Amino acid sequence: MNDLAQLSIISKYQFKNYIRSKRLLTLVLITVGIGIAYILSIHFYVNTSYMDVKMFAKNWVSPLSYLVALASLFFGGDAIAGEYQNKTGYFLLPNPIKRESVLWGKYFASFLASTLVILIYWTFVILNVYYYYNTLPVSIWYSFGLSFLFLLSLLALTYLFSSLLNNGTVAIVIVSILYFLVLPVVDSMSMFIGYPPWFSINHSASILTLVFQGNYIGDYPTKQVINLGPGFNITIFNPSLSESITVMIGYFVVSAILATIIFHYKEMK
Amino acid sequence: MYIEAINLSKKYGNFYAIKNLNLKAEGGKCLGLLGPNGAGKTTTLKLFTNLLRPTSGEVIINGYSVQKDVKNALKDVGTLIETPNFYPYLTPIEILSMMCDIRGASRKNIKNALKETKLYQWRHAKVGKFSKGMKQRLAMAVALVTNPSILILDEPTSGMDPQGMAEIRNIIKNLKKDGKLIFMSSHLLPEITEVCDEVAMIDKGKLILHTSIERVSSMFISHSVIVELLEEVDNIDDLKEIKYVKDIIKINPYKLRIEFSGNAKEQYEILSSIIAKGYKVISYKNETLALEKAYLKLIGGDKNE
Repeated sequence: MNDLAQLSIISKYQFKNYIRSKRLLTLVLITVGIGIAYILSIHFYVNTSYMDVKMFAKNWVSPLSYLVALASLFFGGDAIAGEYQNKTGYFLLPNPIKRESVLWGKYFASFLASTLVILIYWTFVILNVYYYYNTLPVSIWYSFGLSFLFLLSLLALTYLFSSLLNNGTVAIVIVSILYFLVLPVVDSMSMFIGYPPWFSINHSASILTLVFQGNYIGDYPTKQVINLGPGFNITIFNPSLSESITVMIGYFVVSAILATIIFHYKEMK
Repeated sequence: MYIEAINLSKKYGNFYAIKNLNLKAEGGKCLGLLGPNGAGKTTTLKLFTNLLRPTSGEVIINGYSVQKDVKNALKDVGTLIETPNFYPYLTPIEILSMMCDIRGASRKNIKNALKETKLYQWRHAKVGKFSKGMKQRLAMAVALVTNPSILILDEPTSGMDPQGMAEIRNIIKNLKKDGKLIFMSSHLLPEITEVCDEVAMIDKGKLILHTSIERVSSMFISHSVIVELLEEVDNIDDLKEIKYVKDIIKINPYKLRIEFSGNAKEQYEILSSIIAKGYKVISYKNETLALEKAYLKLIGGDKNE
């Protein structure tokens, strides 16, 4: 049986697991909840006639990076580590199947489930923007595409930690700390020390909303020094479109290679 | 059809879990891997199934290296390692279908595998609610469902009730009749003697014996019998005069331990003499299982005897 067929079988059962365990349903409900909350807030508290369409769309897109992070953790955090923690690996791994097919089959299922969630959110965004403005700015399609590139890279990073660790919960906690605490702290520190946090995936993910700024894509300062008092400057760094794409692709490639190598040699002790 | 370990070693730090293991089993038979807890049985089977990577040496199955070509090496091998867990939201039918799909095998054997392991009535139940014994039965069904020629089973009756253990042993015996090669580990001596044709004894990661069950029994034949009598015995001097008897110990007034020289023939002659002297024998048997004695001698567990 060829590797691709085995990969698709692993994907199929992993996706079935997401459905049966209600993980997918939970995240879909969270997404729908966020969407409805936004719609109601806009309806009752925002006068859209005083707001530019791009600014309106930007506000809708701002929670998207958190949703992508949540989807990565939900579907990727314990995908590999769980096989070791729950001993399901004793069923799955001693078979005529390459570890690479197992890893990429699971990754594909995670990407598919996350894509479904992100698409539901984008449906809210696009319909609501169109409802109020009867037009869709070009930036929205940039942000749309970049959100999936961000998902691809963050999911690969999550799989790297899942391959590295034997405990699914620990893998989820570590990626959460990294994404929601360590990298935001690094981004903040960079403002004080004046060194651009180009290596941070959080920093790159800010491109999802930056594309809505200015008159055209990339019409914003990549470095802005603000004087807050005598001897006290802060520097705001914004990634360029090409820089963001490069860093996200870099995260995907490096994480995917490392995760594949680690899982290939990982033992079931 | 064969499995072979060549100079197989597995080291953790300075500790050898397996050291220079050379072992081969070929054709339709059952090879039992016997050893006390921590001897290296599960480590050996994990090395055979690519769950662990050897520090040195390799495992060959049907000419393919498990370490270099896992797909070809394990394509005709059914495995049961430890008591695996299953995805809790799937049913036994789905678990077995997944196994058939991964291996590119037909699903036609699913019903038989479920019936054979007495899980058919639970075929639509979620596996997450299964007991350890039921999971072990399902693990056995997983090993059988693709009808492989070789089975690698790690303590297949672990966690099962006596009836379940007997059923699994019967399955293994039937597989042997079908010409399958079975490599199973156990720390239960009666299980190995009942099911296997050959035994490989390991201790502290080293192979200490690999031979047939018959040969190991004859190598370490017991030279004492326990005799139970219907009536009380006051004086044993009369019995000590019997030819081949070396010593007699009175365990209680009705039970004696007779040590003798010779083999089965001499053992029979002693019994005949006891009866001829008018003693009413109700039981006459070897003190312990020969294999158990051999096993304890080999691993040094009989020092306190």
